[in-house]
Amino acid sequence: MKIKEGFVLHSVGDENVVVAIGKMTKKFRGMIRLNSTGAFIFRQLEKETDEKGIIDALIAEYGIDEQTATTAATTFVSQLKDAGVLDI
Amino acid sequence: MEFCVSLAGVPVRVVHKYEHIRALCNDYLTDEEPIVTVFATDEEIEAEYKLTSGEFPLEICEGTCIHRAATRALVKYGVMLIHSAVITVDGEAFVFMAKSGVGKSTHIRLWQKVFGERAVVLNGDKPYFTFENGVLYAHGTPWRGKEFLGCNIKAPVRGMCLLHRGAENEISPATSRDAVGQIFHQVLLPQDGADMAAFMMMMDKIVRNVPMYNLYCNMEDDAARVAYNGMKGN
Repeated sequence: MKIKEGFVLHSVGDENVVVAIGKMTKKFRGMIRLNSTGAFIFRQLEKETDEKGIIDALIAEYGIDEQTATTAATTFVSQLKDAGVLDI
Repeated sequence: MEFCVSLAGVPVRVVHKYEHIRALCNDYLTDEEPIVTVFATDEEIEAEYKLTSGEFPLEICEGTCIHRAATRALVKYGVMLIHSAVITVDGEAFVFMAKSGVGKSTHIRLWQKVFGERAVVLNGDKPYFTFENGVLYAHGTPWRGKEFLGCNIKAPVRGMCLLHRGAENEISPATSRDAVGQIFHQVLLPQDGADMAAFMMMMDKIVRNVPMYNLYCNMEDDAARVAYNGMKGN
């Protein structure tokens, strides 16, 4: 899975925001705010990956256990799917 | 028909069909060579007319579409629209952002009343902003809202307020989270990826460098004094 073309992540102040560009602006207006973990996972998903890839990246980045990483990855991926941001 | 205006210091050629926009831009005409051309297509004007349910005639809709086109074109030149009301006191600009109907215009009228000749309304609705040597400047524009408040001046921004109605008058620093949330609702997001990146960098610079406040206020004169003193650090 991968972030759909036309969604980009930017940081503004201490905030991480996802907005649409190009043709995607016709379908998606507004913004999605992410916390720092969300932004980290979004960056992983800018290239093709799977949940296993995200979980490994989370463990490497934050030094957390597999269970915690799995919960974080699953929850966030499901939210991105619901928001229509993810190509599965 | 066409004419040239200086918008936030950028010479812009406006190609138009109706007279309205030319009259609106009267104070902004320039002899400089334009570096950008903006116009509105018939389709865009028609779409705007339908969007506003025919409330405004086509000539007004053209003005709105040209404003949008200019705003999008000017992002490349470091110019950003933030939907707000801006008043200057002693040459410094104070910016008020709020959801529609909260009372930006009412609030800046209080400033005029309290500060008299020291206060000049820069723009009541659609000012432009630029950075010069790390300082944020507000610029008057031809688009001044329903009440036509504003004039062709520029001024360094002292502070920006997120305006809320309150029983008492109270001002306090806003968090980055509050500021970003509010500003996002008051801008026209670019569509092009490179423009978006430039736009976000400017927004980041604003949030990091310009003092932001939450202002809760009523409609009494004291609201202006509390807001001014809070932003001046008095």
